[in-house]
Amino acid sequence: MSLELRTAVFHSLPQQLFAENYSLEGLSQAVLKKVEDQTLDVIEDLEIVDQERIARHFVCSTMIEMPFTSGAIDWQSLTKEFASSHSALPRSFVNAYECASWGYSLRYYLNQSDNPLMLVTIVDANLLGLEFWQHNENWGDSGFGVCTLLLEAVGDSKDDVITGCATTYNSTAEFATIVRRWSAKEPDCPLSLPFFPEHIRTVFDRMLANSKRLPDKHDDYGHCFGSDPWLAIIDEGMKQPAERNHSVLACSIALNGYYCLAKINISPNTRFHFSRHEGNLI
Amino acid sequence: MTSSIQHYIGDLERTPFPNRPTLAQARMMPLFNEHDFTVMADLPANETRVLLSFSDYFEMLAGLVDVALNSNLDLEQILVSVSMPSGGRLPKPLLNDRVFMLQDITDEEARLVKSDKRFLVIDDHICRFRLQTGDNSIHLRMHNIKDPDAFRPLKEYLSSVGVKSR
Repeated sequence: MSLELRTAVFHSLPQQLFAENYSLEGLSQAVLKKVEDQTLDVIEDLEIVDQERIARHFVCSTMIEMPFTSGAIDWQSLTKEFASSHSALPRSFVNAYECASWGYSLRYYLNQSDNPLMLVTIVDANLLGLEFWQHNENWGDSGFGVCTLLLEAVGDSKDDVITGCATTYNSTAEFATIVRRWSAKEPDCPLSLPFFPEHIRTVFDRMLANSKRLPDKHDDYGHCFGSDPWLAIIDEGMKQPAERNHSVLACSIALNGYYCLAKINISPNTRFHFSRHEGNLI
Repeated sequence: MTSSIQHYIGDLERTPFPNRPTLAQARMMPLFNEHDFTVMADLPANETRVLLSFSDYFEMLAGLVDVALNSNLDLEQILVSVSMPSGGRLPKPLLNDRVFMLQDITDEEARLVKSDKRFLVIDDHICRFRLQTGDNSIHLRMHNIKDPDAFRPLKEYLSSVGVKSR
């Protein structure tokens, strides 16, 4: 009864994705090519039979919305090649739950399917180059990238994923309370929290002072939206390979109050990788 | 079991809550520099008439989901196509654990069809601002529900908020 993290990979994208005179369609294709390449890298080590057991691959995002909403780009056209290519390539895009989209996708998947393996890719890329998405008062500097997770549900893992929405408008503090309540029951399980600048993460410092926490990496990477808890796990996993099986609680909170917590198991076999794209994408 | 499907198409013809004052809620991403303005101006603008605000839209959508969840259709799943930004917190029915919202429901619907599940697809193209594609139509698809009158409570709700069946 657990959710096993088989592989977690993060490819960091630059703040400035494009040189002058770029096309939105071309840039979107370039980002999606990163998703495609990374997916194929992640599943490369799997037996063919395991590759075929991957029942879903959701692409989740917080801030890629206006290009799709306006009709400037279209998900079906962008991914039409995927249908006839590898079945592990993503076919669905979820951004309604903002930074918690990965958790709501997991909830849906675990309710839907008995098939154990799934992929989630969290993509945030400033396709329009808008200043608001570079940095703002809500979370300071942003970080962008493509984070791909290969997860395996061993037995019924529905209870390992919690989704919800804050009821007040002091979402971060309410979220910290929910995490604290969970942590009190499992004090040995470290928390992997979203990255925030110091004045916001004070809430976590105060309310989660007695919990084990992975380091906040806002100063290194900025706020990387739904990828934050996974990036902290990757960072830790690469620094200190696991000697035995252990759990981590990955937690995300969205600006509008949606949150998700997932207790995941990490084993000595879990693969981690971090890479950084240098220069413009196109 | 052979999978079955029932279709409904309607069009929003008026503001959904006509006798109620609604806050003017024109939404625009904060723009800071010349590039921001240029890139937003380059996005396609829609000529479809905007008949509702952001909050009206999500209230209407949540109302429809609520009717479906509380009907006697015993739905196992509701897939909803939703475009962002939402401009605020989504109403509770949309976060129900039998509801899943995607930017594009095409692939997920095709997968569920193979599963024999009783599910509803809400695929609307209602515009809440000019930078949103759509023609104010709403498409419902009910899968694996035997009742030929299954759409009745949903049609009644949609009719009450200004959606006319085609």
